[in-house]
Amino acid sequence: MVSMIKEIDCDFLVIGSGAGGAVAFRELAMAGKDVLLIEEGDNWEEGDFDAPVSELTQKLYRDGGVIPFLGKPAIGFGEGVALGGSTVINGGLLWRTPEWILDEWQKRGIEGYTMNHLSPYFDEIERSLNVSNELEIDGYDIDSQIINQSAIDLGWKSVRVPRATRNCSRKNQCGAGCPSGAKQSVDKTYIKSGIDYGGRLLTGIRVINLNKKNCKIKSVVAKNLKISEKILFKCKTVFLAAGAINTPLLLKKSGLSAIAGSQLQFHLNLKVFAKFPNKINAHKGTIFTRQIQEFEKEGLLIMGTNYSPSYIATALEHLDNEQFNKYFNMYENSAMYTPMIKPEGTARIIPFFGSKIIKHQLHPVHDLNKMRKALDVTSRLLFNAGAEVVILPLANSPIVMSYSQALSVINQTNISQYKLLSVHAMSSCGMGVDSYSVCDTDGKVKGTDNLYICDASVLPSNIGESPQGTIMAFSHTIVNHYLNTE
Amino acid sequence: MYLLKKTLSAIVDLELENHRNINEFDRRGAVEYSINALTLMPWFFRYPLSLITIFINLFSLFLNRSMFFKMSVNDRAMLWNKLAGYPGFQSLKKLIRTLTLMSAYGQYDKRN
Repeated sequence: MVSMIKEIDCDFLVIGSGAGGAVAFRELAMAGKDVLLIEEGDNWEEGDFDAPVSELTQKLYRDGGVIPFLGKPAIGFGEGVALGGSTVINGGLLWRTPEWILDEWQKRGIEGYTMNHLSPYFDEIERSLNVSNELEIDGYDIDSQIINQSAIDLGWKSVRVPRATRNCSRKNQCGAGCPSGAKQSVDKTYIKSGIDYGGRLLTGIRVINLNKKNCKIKSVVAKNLKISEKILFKCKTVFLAAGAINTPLLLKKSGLSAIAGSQLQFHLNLKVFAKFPNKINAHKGTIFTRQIQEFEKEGLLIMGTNYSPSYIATALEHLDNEQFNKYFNMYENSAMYTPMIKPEGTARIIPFFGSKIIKHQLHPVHDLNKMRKALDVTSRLLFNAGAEVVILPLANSPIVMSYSQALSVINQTNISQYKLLSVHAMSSCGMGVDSYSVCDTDGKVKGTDNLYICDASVLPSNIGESPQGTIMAFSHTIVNHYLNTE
Repeated sequence: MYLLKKTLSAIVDLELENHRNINEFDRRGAVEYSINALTLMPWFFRYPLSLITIFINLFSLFLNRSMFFKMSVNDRAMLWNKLAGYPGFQSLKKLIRTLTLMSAYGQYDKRN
């Protein structure tokens, strides 16, 4: 039972410690401000990540990682809840926003976010997170090298992936916390640095409500999850970075925006399993060293993914036990690949008796065609690379042994058959200049004077690429604009 | 809770049948893992899924005059696969199978 009420004062309160919140925290602390960062999850050290992937998933993902987006079909969704947010459980991909996306945003009247504006911030982020695209080692990472060679043969664009790591020891467990400490998540970098500059941090704090009076957020009500104590944060300015799901949820629950969360955008991941004639030992490499970008403008990217027994088991879940055993035991000859799709459909976040329901609406024709194309080109890429068997993420479909067989299966699929996952949600409170935008181009929530959003929810639209770099660059822009005009 | 645990344990047994890499420790871990996952869910997922799981025993009582977890493996598999064709049970099967395999093979990974 929540009993006592404690009051904590600060000038700046940052809610959420993921990619966006960490930047706001460090920048404000560096500017000498009295800033407090609060995070719902715990502070984990690399030693804590030496446990089975399944256990870590329950600890590090919101709701244990099993809450889906409802709709046809249900989409598994994963979001980190830890100090560092989803940067603790992502692959550490750090892309600069594609310029054609920035051009689209500028055409919509969103000023101040061209590559010229963002470049200095990207430079700073890449420096702080030790971003490099020179990760491959001879004899390792063969799963990525195979698709790179296949893409070259097919004349498709393939690039090295920039990732935030330092001395990666190839534990192949990026999605459940890095046990070697190589991944440069924001808890190890930006937040640590913010604390060094004098910023304060509290973990295990869940925000319940934002109290507004005369266009100003006067206080924030939260609960200390460790000792069941209510806390009232009294602050002058709030930077909200609770993530693409919880930021709009908080705005809605606090009566600050009726439209927040009505147009959540996301990416879809499919897991494709491939068996090759020779040993490739994908589990001894690291993930995502190469990305196939030939179909980027159609909203499709292809790359290798984490390969360990837990991940294989979930990818092969739709096979019967006999087939599962057969292909699982071909471990050393196999790998898994992820085509990532930018769908046209969106999702809606609905507060529901103290929790939330997320309901998606994929486009029945366009998104089905995108999924078919994703499996089509991935199959082509893999069979061209010498795969003997490809297992598609489709319920009630045969295992395919050739590209032509794959094509015939894919062309007959319906949307319900697809096994879909998402780990990238964004644009649920997109900034803009029209009346339908939740916040203006400074990140300030409309109808308030001292509430700013600086996480994935503020992105104007789906960027089609891993969003961590873009979120961080946007957060830098929002906070520095605030500091310059204060 | 007792009934839920016994029924889930019987389902986990079916989902791990013939998995030669998996031992009794992994199996028990998978049961605990599935129960934990249910506990972590918001109430509007947790209660219906738990009720559906317990409800399986009503079918088994009606069809075989036996609780689901006391049925022979073959009868249990037949009933479980039949039920999995219906809405609600279909989602339950997918969820428990995913959790079971993820947990059991996570333990297997650490052991090797």
